[in-house]
Parts: sequence; structure tokens; C-alpha cells
Amino acid sequence: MSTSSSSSKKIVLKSADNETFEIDEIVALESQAIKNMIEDECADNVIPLGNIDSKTLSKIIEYCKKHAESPKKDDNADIDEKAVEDLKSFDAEFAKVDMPLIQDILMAANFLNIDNLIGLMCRTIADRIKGKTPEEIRKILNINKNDLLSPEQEAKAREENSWAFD
Amino acid sequence: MEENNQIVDDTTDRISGLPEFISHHILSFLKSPKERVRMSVLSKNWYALTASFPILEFDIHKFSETFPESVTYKDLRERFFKYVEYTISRFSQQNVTSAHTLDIVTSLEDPTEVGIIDRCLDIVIKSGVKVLGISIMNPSQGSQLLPMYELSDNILSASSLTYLALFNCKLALSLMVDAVKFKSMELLNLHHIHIDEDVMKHLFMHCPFLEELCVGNWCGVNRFYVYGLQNLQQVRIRFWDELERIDIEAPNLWYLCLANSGGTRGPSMNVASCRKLTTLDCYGYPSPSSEGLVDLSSGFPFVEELFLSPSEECKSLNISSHSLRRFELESNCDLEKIDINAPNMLLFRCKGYRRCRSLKMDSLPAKARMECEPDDFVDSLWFQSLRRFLEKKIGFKELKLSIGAGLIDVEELTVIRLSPYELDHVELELYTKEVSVYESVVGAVLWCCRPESLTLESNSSCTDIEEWSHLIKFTYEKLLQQEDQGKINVQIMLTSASKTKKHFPDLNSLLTAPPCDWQAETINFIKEVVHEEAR
Repeated sequence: MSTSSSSSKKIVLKSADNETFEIDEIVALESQAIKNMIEDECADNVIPLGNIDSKTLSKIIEYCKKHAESPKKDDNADIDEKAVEDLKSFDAEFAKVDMPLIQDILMAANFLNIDNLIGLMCRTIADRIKGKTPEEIRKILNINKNDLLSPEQEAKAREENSWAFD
Repeated sequence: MEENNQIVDDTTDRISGLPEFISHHILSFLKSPKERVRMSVLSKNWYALTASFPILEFDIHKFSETFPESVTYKDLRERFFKYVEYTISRFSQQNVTSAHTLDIVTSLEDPTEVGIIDRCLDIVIKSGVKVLGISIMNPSQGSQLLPMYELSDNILSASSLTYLALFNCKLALSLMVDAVKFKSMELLNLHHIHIDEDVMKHLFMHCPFLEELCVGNWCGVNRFYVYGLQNLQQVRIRFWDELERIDIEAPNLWYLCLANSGGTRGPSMNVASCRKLTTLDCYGYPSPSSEGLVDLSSGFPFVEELFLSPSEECKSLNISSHSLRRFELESNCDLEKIDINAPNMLLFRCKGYRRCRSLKMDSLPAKARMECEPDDFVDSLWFQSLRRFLEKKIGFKELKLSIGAGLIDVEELTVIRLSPYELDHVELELYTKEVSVYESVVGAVLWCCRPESLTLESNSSCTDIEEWSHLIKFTYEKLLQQEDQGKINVQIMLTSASKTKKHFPDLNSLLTAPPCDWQAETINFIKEVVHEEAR
């Protein structure tokens, strides 16, 4: 099913679990990495993304579609305000997913080099950490037990600025 | 540790596996010192990541917000400076990232505090800091008064600086004319600083690629001059008492902002050689003693966009400029006391001090247009002033009024035998819900001018169809009355919030339309000459 004009070029992305996604080139260009591939003409008809699963990839495509559609900054200032508001609420809704998926999206956004999406995911993670105790944050971020500071190191670090742990 | 906080062993902290800049990006959203400190104890990895975070911001006001009021002032200062030292020493012990920003906002009340700030500076300068801000606030009452914080010569080796902002510091650098020190400097922001003319001269010389300069309330300089900065584009100057003269020679300067807060006469200006200087903002300048005359032709011969906010005492204004295209005046000065001699002006906005400044750079209108947004309610005297102002040889074709008003005595106006001023188009945005007030204002507007088309903006939430139909009828008839009977027809166009337009060839076709068609944000009346065959 294609609702967009026939003139627009299509790009096919293939996820790790071998699902294919056909998208407009303009949507794919939101990813700096894909943009570079296309510009260097080293992109085949199908771009395999061996480290991104289909669930994450479809989320990312949803994001890129919305951001590719919305008018860019330096257009008419009137449209700008509305578009910015619209994008903001889209982003807020988009980020309402569980932590594992946020991390998946962040990894994939880093791989595909989508600046805005990296920023959005970082902000989302920060928002979920805010006001939490170190113990709670460790759980949120899934910090490996083996990576903890030694008890002495941690005690020292806490003591230096003990007010932060009240 | 409680049971539910137990960390599962078989999963990994995947964020730690990402490039460092991503973790730093997350940290950049956790601005409070408390959150930063908490992040540092999470794990070995986050301990290192928090140490290498290259943006070092220390603001004692923001710091104090994390504490309850029960914490004493002395404890607070101790914690703050300890936190600064701790963070900066952890940063200096890592060798992963170079410093990007150091921004310090604090008062200094003890020599040891001064020492800590000095050490911070040393460390970040050695680490290639790009953005440096030091704002020294006034100490609290009763505390030891220290000499003004003086920036050491160490700063001269901060060759990667792109932005330097200083507030309330002394700048007595031993700058000599040798190798350029600040090849990357793009922006200088220096307020309330002690500096002398020599240091100023050399400082600018050592920043050959400076793009923006923002200065104010200096001490030690009475002649401010900038020469030979090829990249300089924007300059903002807040005057100070000693300042007698400003000389700027910068071939690419396009924006200049002058602010006079002290009410002094202001320095003499010498910027006429800046051929690209097209945009000028003035606050409290010119001062009223200069009789309101602003001759831009000689002082600013290339200015095209002017924003002027004279002090409230300024009661009359006389602007003359050949190059001026857009003029925004922030004043409640009587319109009649304003003279504008600007033959190429296309947009004149006159707004009160309480109204928002339109920073949006919309394109210039095709015809000379005046936009008026006074602070106070307008009355019949105001309309008389407006009428007389329009008559001055500016030749406006369009007028937009965004006004608040009470009931206006239109009878009082009609006694004055002035014919309405002819305009192509008038837009009226009125902040009232009362239709009787609206009608009296429409009456006054149409006493004042005779437009070919008139737009009413109904931003008030008036939903009473009956009242609106009455207003439309009233306006329609008033517009017809301005013309010879039978030769003119008035069409009506309704534009809804979603920009859909509905067109009605005359009043009757509108009045007989179903009320759902009435949803309108603007009502546009257009006069047209009736053709013979149409009669």
C-alpha cells in the first residue's frame, strides 16, 4: 500500500529478525548514517540492520516519519510555532515506553546517527532518574553488580558530599 | 540493601556500553549538583563518566535551592566550595575529555574561596576550555569585603576560548602586541569590569575573529573603540557614566544595540563607516535633553531597521533617515508629537512599553503600513492625535490598530470637521467583549479614516450571534455612509480560525446564511465600485 506520490524514492530496511520495512527516502534521510550511505552510493536496495530488531526499528521509523514530515525550522514563523508544539507532544507520547525499549532505541539511534532521537532518549532517561536514590537508579539503569565501586570507594565518595544523600 | 533493590546479575548496563558523549548527554539533563553526585556513586563506570563530564557549572544560587532553609548560610557556602573543589579535582584527575565549559556564579567572601576559583581556572585553562564565564556577585551584608576579583594572566594561555563572559571582575592583563592570544574567540561578554583603555585595545587586537561583543557598565574607559575586526557582526553596549565616545569601524557589523539606563546624555557616536550596519536597537537613547531629534542620516546612514525605546520622559520625537525601512517605536508619547521623515519607510510600529516586541522578522509590507499598539485605553483625543499624525507626509496606505478602549464619544469627534484620511486597508483588533464599545471604536476609526477595506479581528470570545450581526450591520452601514450613495457595494468575507474563507456579496446574503457559517476569526469588509450592468 502506498499513499505517497509515486515519484518519491523508496528505501528498504531489514531488521535483525529479517522483517523488511519500505520507507520513503526522505524518511530514511533523518538518519545521518543512512544519508551517508546513500550519498556514497554504497547503499543497496535493501539496507540490512543486523543489530536492530523489528520492534525497535518500527518505533524508529515512526519517529523519522513524523520528523521528516514536519516543516523545518527556517520556514514561515507562523507554521513554525504550531509545528514545534505538535512535534513536542509527539515526542512526549513517543517516549512513553518501558526502559528496555528506550535503551534499545537509544542504541539504534546512536548506530543510525539520528541526533534528535538520541537527545530525546537521553532526556527521557534523565527524567526517569531525577529525584531517585542511587539504589533506585541502579535498578532503572540495570547496573551490573560487578561494576559497583568497592565499598570503601563508595563510602568515601558519599562522604565527600554527604548532603546529596539526605 | 532491600530485596527489591537487588541487582540482577545476568543483564548489563547497556548505556555504559555506548559512547561517552551519550552518557554525558544524559548527565547534561541532570543539572542539580545533588543528582550529579548521586550519579557518581552508581558504578565504576558512572564514577568515571561523572568525573569526565566536560561542562563545569557552579552557581551558588542554584546550589542553595537544593537545600532546606534550615541550612545556615555558612554551611551552604562551605558545601558549595567543597563541591566545586571536589568536582574540579576529579575532573583534573581524569584524562579522557578536555574541558568545554567553566561557568561560575558566586560571591566571594573569603580569601580561600578566591583561591578555589583561581585553581578552577588554572585547571580548565590547561585543559583547553572553550567557554568561560565568571560572574562575581555582591557579597552578603556584613561579610568581609574583598578586593574585586582579578583575572590572572593565566587566561592568556587559554587559546581555545571561543566565549568569555565576565561580570564584576578586574581585567588588568599584561597584553602585549605579540602573538595573537585568542584565535578562536567569537564572543566577548564583559559587564561591570575594571579595565583601562590600553587593556581594552589589546584585548580586541588579540581576538581578531571576534563576531559578537557585548559590553556594559565598565569602569576605567571613557573612549570605547573597536577597529579592524573583520568578522565582528553584532555589538551591544550598555552605557556607563564615564563613557564619552564610541568609535566602531567594522566592515561586517550589521547589528548594534545601545542601552542607556542611567539617564545620562549618552556618548557621542561614531559608527557611520560601518556600511553593513542596517539594524539598530536603542533603549533610553536618545535622551530627552536632545529635544527628541534623532538624525539617523549622518550617524547611522545605512540603518534600515530601527527599534527605539526612549525613556518615558521623552515627550516628542523627530526621526529622520533616508535608508529606514522598518521602524518600531516603544513609547506612550503622543502621536502628534512624533515626526518622521523617512521616505523609504514601509513599516512603522508604535507600541507601548507593556506590549510585546515583535521579534519575528516578518517580511516588509508592499505598501507603507502603520501598526499601533498603545498601552492604555484609547479615547477620542487619541483618535484626534492619530488623525493628525496620519496627515503628516508619511503616506501610510495601511493601518493596523491593536487597542483596548472604553466607550468612545464619537459625537465629540464629529464636531471636529476633519475629513477622514484615505487608506487602502485598516485592521482593527480590539480587546473588549462589549459590542457597544466595539461599535463606538468602529465609529471613531471610520471618523479617522476612510479605508477601501476593513478587517475586524474578533479575538474576544463573544458568541452572541445577535450582537455580532448587529456589529456587522453597523460597520457595513458606516462604511457605505462614507461613500456616494449607490456607487459602492461592500462585500463581506469571513475567515475562520482554520483559515477557511466564506464570501458574501453583501450584507443580506450574510444575514440569511445559517449561523454555523458565522464562525469567524476575522471579518473582512471590502468596498467595490458598482459596475453599471450590475445595478
